[in-house]
Amino acid sequence: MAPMLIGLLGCRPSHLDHGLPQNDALKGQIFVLIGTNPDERFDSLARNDAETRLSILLDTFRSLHPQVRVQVQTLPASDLGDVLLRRNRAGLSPDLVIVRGSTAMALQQQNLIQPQSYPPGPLANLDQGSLHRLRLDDGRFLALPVGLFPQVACYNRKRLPTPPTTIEDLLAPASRARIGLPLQLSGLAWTLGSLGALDSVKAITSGQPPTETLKQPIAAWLAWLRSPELQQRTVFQTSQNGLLDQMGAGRLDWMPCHGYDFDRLRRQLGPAFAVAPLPSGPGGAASPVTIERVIALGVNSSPNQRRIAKAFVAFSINPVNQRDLALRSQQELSVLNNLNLETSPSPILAAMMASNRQSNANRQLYQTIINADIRSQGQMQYTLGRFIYGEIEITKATDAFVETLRPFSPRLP
Amino acid sequence: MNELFQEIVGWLGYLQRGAVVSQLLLILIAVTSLGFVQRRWPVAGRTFWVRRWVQLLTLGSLGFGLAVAGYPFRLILDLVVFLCGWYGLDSLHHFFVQSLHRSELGQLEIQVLRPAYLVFGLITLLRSVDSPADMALIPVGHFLGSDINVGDLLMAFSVAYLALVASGPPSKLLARLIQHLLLSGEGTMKATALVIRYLLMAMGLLWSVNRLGVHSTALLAVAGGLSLGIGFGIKEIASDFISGVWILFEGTVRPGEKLLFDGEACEVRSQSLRATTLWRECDNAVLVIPNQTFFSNTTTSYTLGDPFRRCEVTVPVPPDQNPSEIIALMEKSASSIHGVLNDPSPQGLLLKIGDTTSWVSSIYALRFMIGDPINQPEISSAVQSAIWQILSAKGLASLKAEQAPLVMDPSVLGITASHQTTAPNQ
Repeated sequence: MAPMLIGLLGCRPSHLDHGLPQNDALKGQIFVLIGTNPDERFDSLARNDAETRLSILLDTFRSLHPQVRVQVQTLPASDLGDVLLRRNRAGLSPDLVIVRGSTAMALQQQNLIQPQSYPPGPLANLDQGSLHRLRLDDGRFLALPVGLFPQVACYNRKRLPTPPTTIEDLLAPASRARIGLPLQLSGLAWTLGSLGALDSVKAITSGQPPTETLKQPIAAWLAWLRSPELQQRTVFQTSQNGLLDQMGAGRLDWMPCHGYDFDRLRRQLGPAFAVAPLPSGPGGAASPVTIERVIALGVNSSPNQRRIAKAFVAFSINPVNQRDLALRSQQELSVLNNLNLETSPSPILAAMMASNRQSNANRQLYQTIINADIRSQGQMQYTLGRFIYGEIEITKATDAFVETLRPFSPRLP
Repeated sequence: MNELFQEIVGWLGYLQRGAVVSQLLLILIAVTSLGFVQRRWPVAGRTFWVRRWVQLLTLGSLGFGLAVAGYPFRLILDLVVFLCGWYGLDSLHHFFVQSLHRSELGQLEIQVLRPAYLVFGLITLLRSVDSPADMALIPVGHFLGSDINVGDLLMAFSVAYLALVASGPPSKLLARLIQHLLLSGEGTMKATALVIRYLLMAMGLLWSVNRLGVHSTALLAVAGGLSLGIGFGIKEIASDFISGVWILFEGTVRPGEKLLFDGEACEVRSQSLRATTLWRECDNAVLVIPNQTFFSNTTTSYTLGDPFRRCEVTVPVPPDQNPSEIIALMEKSASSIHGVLNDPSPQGLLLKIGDTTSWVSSIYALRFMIGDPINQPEISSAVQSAIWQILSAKGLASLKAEQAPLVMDPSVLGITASHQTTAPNQ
């Protein structure tokens, strides 16, 4: 008990050094706050899953630095802003904040996290697009990426022995798949590529005037969402949680999902749970959204805590740990460009890597779409819902949809 | 449980931060200084309040100073807000003193308001050092086939506590509202309040058990065990409990009711599910009677229908007197007694004509209604005294009163008693 208290207070008696040189040894306690994803339910399972994912890194870190104690706290994404504001003012902010990239940007705008400069060496292998989005004008980084959650297709192997590779296969009468789709643009964005509307969305979000030529593919995409062959076998839900519940209960056979959904589905479906790349379509390959998990520094850390926190950040983007994270979690991919996971084949990893390759070319656009989805909370969903349920016609829905996309610039701070 | 302990101990890690330590030191100095001053130069009343205000202002100024200087200050601000509320609870006395009894106010404050405020303060503190939503999900154990976490446990405990301890005032409020709507009496209101309270308690306990995830099969198993226990050991308690529930819903014995118990007039003071508390007027004793007594025995109530009680006194009068005059005198004398109702008016009767040859008295009776059954002995005594005085003044008789057994009269709604007054033959 006494050594633990002493350790917590950052003091260490000499007899704990075991005679080893400890000049650069880390000691003390840091606080890590994990923000769950906005579309993720906050319950015991989500908490356990989030902490288990982090424990892959933490266990190794603690084995290297046994005198470091890490207290992990988990929080619903919706509460992050308020809680961090309150805790920062009390001097009790966490030392590290792990959230998705878009959330970190929002926190930075409120000065709730501490931007930091990093030496270029460790960053060289990180995805430069990610770094570009996370870099501030003064050259500091508001956060660093630590993991990627590509969007893939989760399906019930017992009902669908072979995963559909095209939208036509998915909707073919023979497949008999019961499909679940989210009523959120970020969740439906993969169909933009499959149905050929991606270029139009890119053009409109980049500021081009919405001409009829640009609107036409979007109208075709919307028309597909209301097509009889889709609607006859599709359940639309406003939240990803609703889809997961139905999938887990066996009422759905196929749905788009991310790595952080895997544990929940695996628990419920058992060996029937399987993952595949999202299907392509007449417009080309699918355009799934990859969610970045980033790690940021808190604002109230003591110098010692900041030292430990920065060490952990460097540790988490180390190639050995990134590889370990991807292989052991089977839920997220590495953020390092040069990391080769192909030598460790796993159907889940293979599907995620294929999906990530599809999303790489459009990562900037996805950030825009995700932010548009968050900022227009309700508006896109409302338009999509009204259209899908037949309350508004396609022309009006197209115009409303284009209007929601327009105000947002693709480059966010 | 170990995880919860580690989480709490882990908060000590914040003491590595100068900003946290400095806030805590400032708080410590400001709080202990008031305690020191109060112990050294104790004061009360207005001066004490002034000292409290000085303490709050000092703390607030310190927090403001830190904020202006750009340092973290929220711990001090939270404490100031908490203390303002805590001290503010003292002033509730002035607010509620008109509408609540002193003991009820004490209960409300000690059992409900201050614990609730402490919990609120604790959650506020938790929001600063940790994530309450996260802590609520920490598992603490396994109970009857369900995993229990901190949030479930605290929520179940809080609701059960509120249902058992704090359901009284809202029940009374609701019962009072029903009383106003249905124009029912005070006794009905108290019984309604009890029924509502027990319903709230039952609902609260069931909700708590459900919140803890106890399956219905587990509940059935517990119920089965209880029924076995009831069969062997706690039959009497169960009988009292069921009788109490039945009596409450039936409404035959309610707080404020006036009834006869062991031949003595008593008033029902309170009721619980196990026993009923009576106040016996004749010796000022409080009786705790198991509910099944009322359930299985005949109960004589004076207030079930209306609160009136019929009394009767008998008077021997020399046989040569005019019955009409005697009856008029008796009725007149009773009407002047405080507590005797004039509607219906006292009624004199000639029960038996005397015999002038052997000088056997004629027997008269006076029947009258009183509004307070408990005071029957005093009022009957006063009536008899008045009759004696008025007859003595006429030189008619020298009377000796004698208490007679109570006589029930089913013709009157409610139960009445009769009293005999007898005089020696002259």
